[in-house]
This record gives sequence, C-alpha cells and structure tokens, in this order.
Amino acid sequence: MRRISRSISLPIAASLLALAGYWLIAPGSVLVEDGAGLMTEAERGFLARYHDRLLASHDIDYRVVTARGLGDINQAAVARFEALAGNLRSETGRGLLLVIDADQDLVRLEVSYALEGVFPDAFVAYVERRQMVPFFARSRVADGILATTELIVTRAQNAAANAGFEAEAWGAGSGGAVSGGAVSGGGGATATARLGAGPAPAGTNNAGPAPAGTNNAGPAPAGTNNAGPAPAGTNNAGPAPAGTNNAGPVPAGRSPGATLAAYIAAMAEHNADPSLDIYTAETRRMLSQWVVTRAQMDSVVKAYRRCHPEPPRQALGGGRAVIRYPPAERACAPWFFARRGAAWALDLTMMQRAIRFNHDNHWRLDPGVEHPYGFAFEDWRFDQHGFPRIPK
Amino acid sequence: MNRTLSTLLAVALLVVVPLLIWTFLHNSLVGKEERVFESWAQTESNFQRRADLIPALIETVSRYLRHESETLTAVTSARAEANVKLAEVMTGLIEAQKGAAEILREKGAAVVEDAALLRRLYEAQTAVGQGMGGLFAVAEAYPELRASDQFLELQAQLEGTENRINVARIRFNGAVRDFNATLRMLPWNLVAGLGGFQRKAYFRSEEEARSAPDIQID
Repeated sequence: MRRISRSISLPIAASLLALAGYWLIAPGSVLVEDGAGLMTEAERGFLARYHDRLLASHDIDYRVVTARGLGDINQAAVARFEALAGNLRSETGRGLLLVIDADQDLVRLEVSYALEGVFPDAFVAYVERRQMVPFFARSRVADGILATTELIVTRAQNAAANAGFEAEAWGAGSGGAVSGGAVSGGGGATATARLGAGPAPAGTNNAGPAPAGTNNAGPAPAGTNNAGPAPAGTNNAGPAPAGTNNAGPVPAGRSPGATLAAYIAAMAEHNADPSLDIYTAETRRMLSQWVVTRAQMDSVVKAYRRCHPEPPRQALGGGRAVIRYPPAERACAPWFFARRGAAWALDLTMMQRAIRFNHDNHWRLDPGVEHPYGFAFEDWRFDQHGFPRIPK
Repeated sequence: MNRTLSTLLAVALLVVVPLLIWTFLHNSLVGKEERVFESWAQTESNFQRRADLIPALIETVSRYLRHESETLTAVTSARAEANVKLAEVMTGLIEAQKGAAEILREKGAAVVEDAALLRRLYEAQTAVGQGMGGLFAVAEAYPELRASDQFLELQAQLEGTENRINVARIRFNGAVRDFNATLRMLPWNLVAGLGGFQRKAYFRSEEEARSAPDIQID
C-alpha cells in the first residue's frame, strides 16, 4: 500500500515541481529580462518588485526587456507583446513593455490597447526623452526606468480619478483607446536611448539640479543607499548635467514661503543652477552631484499647484522652519528650511534623508532617520512606517 | 419500421450532414473575411487619425513661421531659402493628404477587393508619410520650433500613428493572406464559389509584392 502511494505521489510531486519550474521560467513570468546586461542583479530584482506593486495597485503589467540587435525595434516590441498576450498578468489587459536595444541605442515603450487612452504617444515620448534618457546617458538604466515609472504611476492615478493631464508635468493630452485587448497596436514612442553618452550639450538636455518635493528617481534600487523607497530627489551620480536654463541669481526669501515661491519659480524656468542662493550650503553640494530632468522640474511645479500649504512652523530657537500640507494631501511632502541671516534657505539635504515616497508617490517620514525638523510634526500621529495618519 | 428508420437516416446522412459541413465551411470563410474587414477598418482608422493630426502640425509650423517673420528684423538669404523649402514641403504634404483622402472616399470598405485601387492608395499614403518625414527633416533647421512642446507632441503622435499604420498594415496583409489561401483550398473553394466570396487585395508596394513569397499562393 505504502509502495503504491509512493509510486503515485512521486510523479505528482515531480509534475508539481516541473509546473513550478515552468512557471518560474515561462516568458510571462519574467518581469525584467536584461539580455543586454545593462543592470545589476539587485537592480533587476528591485525593478521586478516595484513593478509587481504597480500590478497590484493599478493592474498594470509593466515588463522590461533589454537586448542587442533587435532589428526594427517597433516591430520587435509589437511581436514581443503578441508573445506576451497570453501571459499578461493584468486582468484588464493593461500592459506596458519597455524595450531597450543597446546596439542600436534605442528605447521604446510599447503601450497595450487598453492603456492607449491613459498613456498617449506624446506622453510616452515626453517621459522617455525628458525623464528616462538623461539617466540612461549617465549609465543609470535602472534609475531611469524607475524615474519614469513614477510619472506613469501619477498618470495612472489621475486617469483612475478621471483627472486631466493639466495637473501633471506633461501638460497636453489627446489620444484614445482603439479597442480592448492585451495586444498592442503599435502605441507608444521610440527615442534615442543615449546609453552612457553623458550629459547632452547645453540647450539640448533636459537635466538640471534635482527639484525637491518629488520622488524623482523612484524607489532606489537595492544596493544603493536606500533600502526602501527613495526620498525626494534621490541619490548620486556624476556632475550636474548641462542644459536647461541657468537664469541668473535667485535670492533666498525673507520668509520660508518666499523662498519656496522662488524655488518653484526657478523650477518653472528650468533653472539648472545648483548654486542658487535659495539652497543651504550642504544642499548646493548635494545638488551638484544629482541627475535631474526637465520632467522632474515640471513635475514639481505642477504637483505643488494642487497643494494647500499651512502657515510655516518655526522651531523655538528660530533657526529652522517647515512648510507642511494637510495630511490628506498625501503627495504634498513638507519642505524644510534653515535660517541664514535674515533669509531662509531650502534644506533639501535633510529632506532627502528624512522623507521617503512609496510607489503611489505618498510621502512618509523615515522613522529610522533623526532630523531636527520633528518639532513641526509634534501634533500629528504617524503609523509605524512613518505615513501621517489622516484625522477622522 | 426498420426500413422507414433506415430511409430517414440515409436522408439525414445525404442531406443534413453535407448541409452541416457546408455551413461550417461557409461560416469559417465568413469569419476569415470579417477579420480582413476588421483589420482594414483598423488601418483606415489610423489613416484618419493621421489625417486629423496633419492640419494641427501645419498650423503649428505656419504659426511659428508667422511669429518668426514678425520678430526677425532681417531675414538672411539662407533663412529665406529654408522658409521657402518648408512652405513647399507643407504644400506637398497637404496635397498628398488630399489625394489619399479622395481614394478612400472613392470606394470605402470595398477597396479591399480592388487590387489596383489599393495599390494607388498605398502609394498615396506612402506619399503622405514621406511628406511628413520631409517636414520633420526640414524642421531640423528650426531649433526653436523643434524644441516647442506643441511641435514635439505632434511629432510624437504622428510618429506613433505611422507605427500604428505599419502594424495595422502587417496585420491586414496577414488576414488577407489567410483568407486568400483558404479560398483556394479544397473544399473551401467549392463553398466560396457558391457563397460569392472574392479574393482580397494586399496593401503593399509593387516591390513588396514582387519579393513577397505569398505571391506564389495567389
């Protein structure tokens, strides 16, 4: 009897193992396929986890493929999507496929029929050229993809809320769904990837100092400084890119509100100068090392238009101040200021350390980071992750 | 009794079963023909999408040229030459678009059964695509225009539409190939003759037609 049950259970176990193995290696289960070797294993894992969350929260199955010598990248992307159709994990056929051909130095984000109304070609072209490519030029492929995913999340959220494009960095809007289904009809856009090309010449690039208040590069890949979602701006890499405007001095304001207004105005002008007077000395040093895109600056300007600031809160000694927003405005992160003589300077360094964002761009204070701006939040309650609780 | 039942069964075998087979074959041809019409409709809707975008592109470029002529105090001869070239390309694009639209109006969906007309339409649509490409190429000489958000947006949408047209064209030709091949096979060809099914034309250039292996099947 025992022999019989063993003879039955062994094939069943083997079949289950084979099934599990197939599921693990089946094309439909691989979210990040880095055939061109543009990312580290940690980055691939982080991207896959982040895109898993995108699927859970927005039912968008976002795949990434890097390869070499694909031929016509547009056709290759469509063919790849066709192959994925049966394995798409989205229940509503919402799929995105990012294809990077390292040999041809091209990137294409292919959009499924079901998402064409959410992500028109012009939006895709915008995020590719003004958000993704500046990171790619610094050989930060994973960061570029994550930074773009963030704009994709914002667009998906606004689409779900029936909000128009005007509130986003990308301000135009048209296009519409062609028909239902998981297969793409060629929607999306292709751009030159500029992989490892370095900063573009002045006037052609989209980069500048990192604007605060947005989760610019998305959650940082594992292996970088941030184990969780990254703070405003995020990390490192290379000298500040050329391009955009360095439109003269921007003096710090006599109040935190005035400095913040000057900062937002500088971002609106795509002012790339990391040495502006509105920043603290540490912030200037930090910004000089950041990659920032024009899309990020646009994003700050548009995002904070919708935020309703409370009056500035100053520390007892008067050396620090915070401008915060009602906790219900989850995407509106607070701003930290340090007094410098009679003026107030933005302390983006401390914001970068203390404030983090989740995949929905909701901010939180990292409970593990000590900072001198806690005084401004003493009347609020936070959950264990540092997200402010919304009063009932 | 047994004899009556046997007769009935024989009649059923001789009449009902062939009828069922004929129905199945006919319906499968209808399904394939519908796929041809559906994929053509998709192609046409992409033509329409492009036709809707082109006036906006022309308007954006014209507005820029007006703005430039108002703000530039002195126009160099090289610039004047470029402006003439740009105007010519725009006129060519408008004409090509008009020609393509007329062909589509001529026959509507029935165009898929007229190989000569489809070839003319292919050439007309190719001319529109080339006109657009020419416009973007000439626009390279106008960095301010090329950097404007509106121009970039239109360019992205038009490039996207070009790609959609290409994808739809490939799918249409695939559906036509499938339908035409079935039409020639036994026993479908018998049903096709009775059902009035007609071969469909491919949407492709003469060069493609010459090099395509499926020309042997047709």
